[in-house]
Amino acid sequence: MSRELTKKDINPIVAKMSYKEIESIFGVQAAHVAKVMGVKKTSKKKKETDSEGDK
Amino acid sequence: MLNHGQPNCVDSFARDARLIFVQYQDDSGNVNSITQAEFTSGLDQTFLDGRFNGATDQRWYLTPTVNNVVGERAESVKQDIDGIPFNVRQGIRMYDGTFYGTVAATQYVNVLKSMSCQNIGMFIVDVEGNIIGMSNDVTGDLDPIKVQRNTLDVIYKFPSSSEVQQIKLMFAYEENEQDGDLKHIKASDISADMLTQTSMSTVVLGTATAISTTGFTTAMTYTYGAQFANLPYEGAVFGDFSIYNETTMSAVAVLTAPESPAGTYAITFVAQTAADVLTVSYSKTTGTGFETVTDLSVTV
Repeated sequence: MSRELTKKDINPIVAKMSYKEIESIFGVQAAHVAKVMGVKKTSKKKKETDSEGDK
Repeated sequence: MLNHGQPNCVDSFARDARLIFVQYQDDSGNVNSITQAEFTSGLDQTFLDGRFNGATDQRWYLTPTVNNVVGERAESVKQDIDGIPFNVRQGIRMYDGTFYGTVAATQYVNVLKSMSCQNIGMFIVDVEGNIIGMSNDVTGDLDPIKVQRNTLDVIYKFPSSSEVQQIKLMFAYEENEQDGDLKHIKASDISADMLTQTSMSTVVLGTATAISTTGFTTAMTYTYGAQFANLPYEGAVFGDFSIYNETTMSAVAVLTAPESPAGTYAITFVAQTAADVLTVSYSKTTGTGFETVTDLSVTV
């Protein structure tokens, strides 16, 4: 079993990705990677008012 | 004629412990010396890491410990004229040393033989950690000792009931190298232990599996080990992998490279287009060096 990824195991550019992008790359590990890199899931309500999507 | 007076205690070097092979000249034609300027700015671990992990035309290739070194120079070649032995030229100095035990793996035979036919030089690291080379009176630098081309011989000996495996290494010093030019840099002037340094290792990226447009898995190994079971290379980190998209001709950012099990890495990268061809390589040049010499091709 692989040990859990820490911040030093992840390229810092991941912090600039959208949650959706992280999900598409990391699959089941996406939630953990996003949490470690401080990327938040954009709420549905915000999505409706923000044309730029989940940034 | 030179004066024969000497100080009371003259520093000298000890028996050989390890050898540093290097291309005698780099690609620009400069001798791969230890320069006076480098000595003045300090021969420290940073300097050594730069040499051990540097460009291949300047890299220091450090051997494991070598034992039972015999390095005798033959007597001068003489011509007998009217019974008088006139000197024709100095005799050839041979190098003859042996690697014993686990470092004398058969794979190392090929590594040593890869130096054949090359214009190489060497520095000797003695058991006290001094570096021995050739003093260059013109530049003031310590040059590598020139190795005579095409004289390298490598012989593997199987282990027996009373002996470990061994590799015997033999070659000749270049015929014009003069013993009087041999000089050393004292271990006390090197702020790192030469006897515990490590040389660059070659690692191999295994066939990619679980390929997607955002990742693949590869098992990394050394070139040493049993057939179908080379030793796994552990400890790689994402920053040491490089991926290049041959289709779009652009670099691809590696995002993570978690290791599980030992030596197997699940590499993720920024999403690429299906059917693009990626070239993957690995290079770690800080501290102990590791690098791939053959790229891995992955079609996503």
